[in-house]
Amino acid sequence: MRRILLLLLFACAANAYAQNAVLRGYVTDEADGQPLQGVNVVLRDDGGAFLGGASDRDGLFAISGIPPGQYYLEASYIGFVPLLDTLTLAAGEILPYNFALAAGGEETDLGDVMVEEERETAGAAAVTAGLQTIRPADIQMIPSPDLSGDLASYLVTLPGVVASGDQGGQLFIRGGEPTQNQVLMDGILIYQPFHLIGFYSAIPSAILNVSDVYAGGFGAKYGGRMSSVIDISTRNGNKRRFSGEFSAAPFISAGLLEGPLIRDRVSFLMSGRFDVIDQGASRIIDSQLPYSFNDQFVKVHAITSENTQVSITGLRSFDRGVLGALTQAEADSTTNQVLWKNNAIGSRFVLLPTRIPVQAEMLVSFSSINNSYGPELKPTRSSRAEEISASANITHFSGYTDISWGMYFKFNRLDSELFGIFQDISDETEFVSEAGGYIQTEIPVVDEDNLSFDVEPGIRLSSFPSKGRNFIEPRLRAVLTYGIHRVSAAAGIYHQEFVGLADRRDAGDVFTAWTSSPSGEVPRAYHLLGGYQIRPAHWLRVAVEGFYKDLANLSVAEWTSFPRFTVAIEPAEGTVRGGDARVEVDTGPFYGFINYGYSKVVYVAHQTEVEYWFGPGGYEYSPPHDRRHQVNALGSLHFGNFTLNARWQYGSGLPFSEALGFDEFVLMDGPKDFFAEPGQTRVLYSYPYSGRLPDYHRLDISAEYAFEFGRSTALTILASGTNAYDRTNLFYIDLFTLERLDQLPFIPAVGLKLEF
Amino acid sequence: MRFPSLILVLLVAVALTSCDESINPILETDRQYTLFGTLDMATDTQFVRVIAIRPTLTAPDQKLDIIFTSQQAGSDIIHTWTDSIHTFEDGSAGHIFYAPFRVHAGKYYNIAVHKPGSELATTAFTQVPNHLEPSVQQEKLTWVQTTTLVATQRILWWSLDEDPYDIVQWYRFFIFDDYGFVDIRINHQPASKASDTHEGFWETRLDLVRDRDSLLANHPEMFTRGFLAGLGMTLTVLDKDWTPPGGVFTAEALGQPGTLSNVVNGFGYIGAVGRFSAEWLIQDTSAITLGYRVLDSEAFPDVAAQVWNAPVGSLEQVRE
Repeated sequence: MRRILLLLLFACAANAYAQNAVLRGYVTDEADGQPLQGVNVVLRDDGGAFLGGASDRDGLFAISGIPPGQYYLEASYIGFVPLLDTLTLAAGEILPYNFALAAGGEETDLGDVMVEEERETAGAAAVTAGLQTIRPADIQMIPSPDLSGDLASYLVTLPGVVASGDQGGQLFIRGGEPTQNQVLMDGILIYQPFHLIGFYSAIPSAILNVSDVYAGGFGAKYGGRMSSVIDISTRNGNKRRFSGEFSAAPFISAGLLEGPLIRDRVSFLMSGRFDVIDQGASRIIDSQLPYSFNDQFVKVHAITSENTQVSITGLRSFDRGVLGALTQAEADSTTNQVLWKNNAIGSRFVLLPTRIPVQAEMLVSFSSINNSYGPELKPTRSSRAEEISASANITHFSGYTDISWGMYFKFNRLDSELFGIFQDISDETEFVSEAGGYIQTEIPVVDEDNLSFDVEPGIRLSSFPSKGRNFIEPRLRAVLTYGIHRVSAAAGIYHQEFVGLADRRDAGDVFTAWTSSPSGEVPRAYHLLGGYQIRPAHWLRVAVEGFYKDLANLSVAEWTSFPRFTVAIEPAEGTVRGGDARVEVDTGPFYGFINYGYSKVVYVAHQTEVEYWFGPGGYEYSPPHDRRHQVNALGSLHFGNFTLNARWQYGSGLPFSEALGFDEFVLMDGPKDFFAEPGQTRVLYSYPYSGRLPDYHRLDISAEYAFEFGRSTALTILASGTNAYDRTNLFYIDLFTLERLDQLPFIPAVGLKLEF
Repeated sequence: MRFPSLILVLLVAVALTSCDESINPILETDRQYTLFGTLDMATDTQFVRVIAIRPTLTAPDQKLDIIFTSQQAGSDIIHTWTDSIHTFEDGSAGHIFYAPFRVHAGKYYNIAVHKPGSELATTAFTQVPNHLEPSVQQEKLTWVQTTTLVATQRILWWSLDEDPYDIVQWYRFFIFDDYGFVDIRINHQPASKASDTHEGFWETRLDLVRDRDSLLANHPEMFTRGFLAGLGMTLTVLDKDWTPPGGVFTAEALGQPGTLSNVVNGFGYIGAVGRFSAEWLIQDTSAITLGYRVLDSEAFPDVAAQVWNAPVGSLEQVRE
């Protein structure tokens, strides 16, 4: 069946476009051979009619359905010298056309011919049907205590993204749990992409090319997670010369080295970051910081021929720490120590067949997470998940529409030793295989000068033979653009076979146990979202977006009045609804945005005992990540080599459970001898999560100055203040001891970065 | 928004919101005490555990300065209970209040706990189960195919329309050597649990052969040294409100505050326990057929008088 489908697709593509030509190729930066994304490539004929396309994250562009003839080619990209050329295309010709753009161009003047802006989903207010693209330049504007910047710092400025705080490394996106977010780096799954210190992800911004963040409504290409997708592509190493950077700051020291192994053909990129908390941050902050973390990244990229590229990427990250330590003794104790290690490696092969207008991508990867709690050598619980994945993604370029389809096979191993902590989860090693495929197409329903309407329907099929489960997941994305207006919408069905269980009742416990869906019912989500965006001036963009998610078959920790170390899992369902508004200003030297997000997350859990207390039908509550209101504001001023950044965050209080007090409970199951019954200590909880912590807000500022030495050497000095007005933001309060743990206080920092 | 304006907005926002906020996760409440106890017809002293609801996990080791009273509805008598600090086996301590009085079937009792000078009281209200009227039916002995004996007896408990909490059944023997009575408890439950609740009464059905076999196995000396001097049964009945949600007593269910609670301005449960007994004799011929020895009333008239002159249900004592 699959072969027949393949043949049909290839035959259709070949026949339909036998008479038309195809122009395709890679666009790179002449300076270092990096692919350039968003380059507009336009073919104009003598009559002025034009065809065009924009390059993707690989720098690949493809223009198909070109009638034979002579054309003027114009390729432009902001900040680069435009390329002009004349081409003659024969009927049925597939012309490879790789070229490099040189930096230094001024304002690009292509008249009204702009196929695609630099990246139409890039920018703080450029959200399109849940998708926002994050560039390294965006990340650099977020004040942080070090010079390298980090994706994690940027993500928490997005409305609808809730972090567990400065500590914990947990990110909730539009109501989704951290383990419901899929983070892919060059197509490789990263299980736990954030470090324990909330400023940092496991993926430094210095290696980033671009990150697509789908807060919901993602297309059929993605699957296996039910909330969001963060699709990160990393840079290739410099193919022209060796370069690098080293930085030092109170939390982290980082180094990066890249260069050609074979000039213009093979490059490497490697980076490493190590915490220096003991030597730096601990000396300037009057708080316990019992954290240790590091990450290492290596990538080798090769242009193996005019039509083929291959890369091998590896990432390792390590985190160890104690959340909630108030004293040195608690910080030194390993009893409550949490540890996780990510290991990921994968290869990506990209092929442009010479005879058919197709791009083929093949991915093979391995990734794993080791998560434990307690002493490192003898943890009180541990969990390990591994995934071996092989997939192929094919895109057919045609004049009318591009068709993408793919198939994959995954082999998963899940292994936990929970020692009864999660009462319903088996400690047996689980092996689960998964196979599936998808097909999606982008149909330009309307394509006129000032009006376009693109619809992207898709369907994804997943099969778990060892579980006897199959899922069919229809997806739909649509974008209507009319002049300065853009309306977008997305919807889809999502399933998640593998879940990460965490005891969210305890904010200080970030241990996650990976397992198959414990109830036997696979978690499922429906997404529906829609937005409007307007760009009334080139320096101003305004966007609003609303979303709704319906969640089923969730697993939540049981509610119990007895303080204890074990957790029983109870079924729940939920809804997430909300909306956000964004304003983005870019006047050149000043860039800024302000956004507001509203979100309401409601779970309904089913636990017989609690229903005795609060009534039948499940108990409805707001889970601890239900932050209702958020405001993020960023201002960045750039004068020559001087940059001043300020960011202010506000978040309304997170839910927590209040109590009426404590007592002892005697089981009154009949007449008792009260002299023989000491009773069991009990928490007299009020309604679960009915209280709200105080609001959270923080101002971060940073100033940087870069001293340049020659063409490619620079020394940048940073001075920053995180939590500049020393707001005492509460992380959590221990109900049993009434001790509060606050987020990090004012952190003054200086840092240095040397680039060469 | 121009940059200076943004800075101004930020500064105003900071000025308005930079104060610290404290938080107390323990809510204020009128619920002051948790009470666990029983008013039991079987005892002449009543006990109630009193736990002050506290804002910390660990209990302070201090005296409870409270006034604990109880009053039977319709009566002027108010009992003031006495505090005792009891150290449990696990080393923890608790306040157990007690008062020496008996409670009576069908009566209502009000319990109140309050601090001296405070009008706010933690109260509970409970009713001891109504008096039960047992009706002992004549035992029936039947031989099946001349080799198998079937012997049953029905006891009807009028006014009981729910399953009792517990049933204790015993056989009374007169030990001539000691010149005294011994009550032997039947360890297996009588057929009571299988009994049906009928309109107006609740029925216990005894299997006299099974009882005999049990006694023979566990106390064979009663068949050589003792004389059957009576049968008895005590039903323990809980008050009508003492019903667990879902029908099963579990810590997870009952541990939810407010679940199975009759305490106002507090938590916990004060139950009332009714104890109702019946004693009777079976016919000598039946006893002998079952293998028991019976007293010769003419030879031992004083013993016989004790046994036979007692009205059914008047002997309210059970010995294990």
